Amino acid sequence: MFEMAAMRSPLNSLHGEDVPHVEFNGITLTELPFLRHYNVRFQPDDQQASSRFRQLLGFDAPQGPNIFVVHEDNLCAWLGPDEWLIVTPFHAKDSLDYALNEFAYGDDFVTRVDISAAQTIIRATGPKAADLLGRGVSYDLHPRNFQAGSCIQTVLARASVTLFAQSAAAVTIDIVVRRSFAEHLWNWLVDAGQESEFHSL
Amino acid sequence: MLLIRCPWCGLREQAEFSCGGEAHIVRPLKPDELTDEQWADYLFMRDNTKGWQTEQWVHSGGCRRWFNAQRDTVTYKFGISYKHTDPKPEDGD
Ligand SMILES: [Zn+2]
Repeated sequence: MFEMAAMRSPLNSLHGEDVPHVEFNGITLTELPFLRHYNVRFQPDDQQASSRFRQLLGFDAPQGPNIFVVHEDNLCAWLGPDEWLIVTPFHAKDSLDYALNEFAYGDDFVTRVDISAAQTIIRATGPKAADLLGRGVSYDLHPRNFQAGSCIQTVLARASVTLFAQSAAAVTIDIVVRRSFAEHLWNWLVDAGQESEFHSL
Repeated sequence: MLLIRCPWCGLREQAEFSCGGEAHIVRPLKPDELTDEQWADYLFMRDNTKGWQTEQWVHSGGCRRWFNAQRDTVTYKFGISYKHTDPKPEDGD
């Protein structure tokens, strides 16, 4: 069984046993470790699967593209026409696990895969967070284009990432990144944030 | 910056995509009944069009879906992007 004390996040190694957290030039970077990530796939035009999903999870999987919904503990992001990412806090994992097992049980065309160990989330907050990420992303992250509730899969500093626009007002962007790229991306973000244009805040 | 339209995600940078070659090449239904020449034709021979051609692309840095797109091999200009389930459109402008 998991023990919190025994768990290590992909970015722990940078900061001893602590949750990585750094502030510079009005930008805060922190890791959101130990969330549970599930990849869920089913055909959106499969009425049975869709209604079973709604019944068990209490919301509809977003029909996308490039959006996510938050319902109670769960964040559900569109990844493709038949694919979603669901993220939930550690304490809610058992109920989500149960719901997703029920959802997939006995249906050959539904999959749910626990990918919690495969990726982590870096949260970038601050008025210049979008500018910082914009250094490595070609997509327009300005709040007028990348509004709260949007999510995109793209490439940031050569790492595949999924970006969530959590809040336009406080500019909070969550970056889902594979664990093997997490340290590289963290170091890249800290380095890019030292550029002179970020000092003026 | 060259932008390519993914039928699902919309316009994205070319770096997020990979090309899978000419589109609409149908795999023979009974490969074991083909001659070596016919099989080689299916495997290797391509039109190598100068001008508009339809190609398979995959949005590898995004939604990871395959789709078809028109591209002018002379100007690199992209035309329509469409899903595999959609019919083949007319050549681009
Ligand atoms: Zn796409």
